[in-house]
Amino acid sequence: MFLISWLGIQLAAGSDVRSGRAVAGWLSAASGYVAGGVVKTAVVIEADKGWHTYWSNPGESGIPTEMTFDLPDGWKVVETGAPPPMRFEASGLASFGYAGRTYFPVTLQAPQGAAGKVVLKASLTWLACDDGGCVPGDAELSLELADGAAEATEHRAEIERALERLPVADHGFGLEVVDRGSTLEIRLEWVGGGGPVVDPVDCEVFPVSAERIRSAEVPRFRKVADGWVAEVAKSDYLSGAVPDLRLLLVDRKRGKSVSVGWRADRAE
Amino acid sequence: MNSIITAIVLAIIGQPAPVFVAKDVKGAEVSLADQKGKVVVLEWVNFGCPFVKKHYSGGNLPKLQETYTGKDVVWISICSNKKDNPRYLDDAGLAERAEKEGWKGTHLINDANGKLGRMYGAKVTPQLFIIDEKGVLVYDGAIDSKATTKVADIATADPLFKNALDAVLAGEEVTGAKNKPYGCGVKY
Repeated sequence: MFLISWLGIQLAAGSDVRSGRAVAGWLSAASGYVAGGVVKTAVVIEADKGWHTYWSNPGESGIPTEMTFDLPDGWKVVETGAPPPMRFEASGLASFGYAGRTYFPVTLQAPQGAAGKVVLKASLTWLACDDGGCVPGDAELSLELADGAAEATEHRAEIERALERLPVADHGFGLEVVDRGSTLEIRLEWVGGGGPVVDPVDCEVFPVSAERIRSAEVPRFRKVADGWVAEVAKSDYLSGAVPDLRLLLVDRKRGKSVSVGWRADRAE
Repeated sequence: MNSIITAIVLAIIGQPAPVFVAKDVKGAEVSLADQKGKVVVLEWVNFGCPFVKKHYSGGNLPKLQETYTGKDVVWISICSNKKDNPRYLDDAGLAERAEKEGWKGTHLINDANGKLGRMYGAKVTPQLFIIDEKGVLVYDGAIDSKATTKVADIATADPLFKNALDAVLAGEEVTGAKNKPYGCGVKY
């Protein structure tokens, strides 16, 4: 199995698990840990060719990939992240998710006073679909880390790349939403210093918030005098005024993505 | 592709449900118009879908079917898998599979050309519609609130569809009449 070659023979690796038309594994950038320090890791899922897994907002069908952690006393998950998704059609339904190999970075922190070899555990569930059908998958993953020997593993570079690809939150953008009944007018304004890391005109836009805008809609921002604006149809499942909205702007050209949010109860 | 599906959808909450005449897998004619005066459930089904399996292997759907057909509800299950889908079954195969799964509805229709599915805008399996005694569509949505494939979640989920059906039978207004169903995309 290909994951065996990723995971190698180092301590900082667990066994790969095959389930639900995908293979899952857990990689670490370092072979060990230092008490009180952080360890960069990534859970990796590789869907079989022609199959896909789903983002946190799966779109019109599917369910999100979920992971939970079982860590030794004092260990903490500092941050988990998901890379920008892709848009695809599954049985004619607009869906958001991943094909091929996908890295979900997980940053861990060892407690002060931690000592000895540790075994970290994670449970993972996902749904993989192709046009013919869907299969649920699950995996119990583990990662062994040595005490003190924080040397880089062969996975360090790929984990660093995965971290760089993660969306950043509210990176200097202000978002405003005007509810126009069946549609939403979405306005973006640059309020940060320097310049934006993404150009909204070039961005693929994904709804982080489910059931706010129609998944089949492909929002596109256009430049206006004081920022950028897009009009989108409201979700068929949203009754009443839109209470909040969070969007992910993915600028593939620049390799950056930004998450921006708005709440009606905080709007001026 | 989705825009094509939604463009021809005729089923709208609060409006008369689109009528159809079709043969069920046993060859019996099913006319929706003839059901006026009775509450009708339309259930989109694909026995190969893990979300559908959850509700059949866990006994939830067969129990609902048995309970409500016992209250004079007409329960029509519809499979819209197209012929070249690996999960497609012909009428005899679908009837046999339904029996194995413990299906207890009134009629089972093989909608391989997707006509009924597109008419109602069925997107996923399971997806449930309720039509009241006057022939008005009063529910279009999920079976329950937990979008998972785990049988154990049925017990703790909010039974959205059951609540809606109970309300209809009690002559009450359905709250949350349209909600997002979860499941596998219908294999048009």
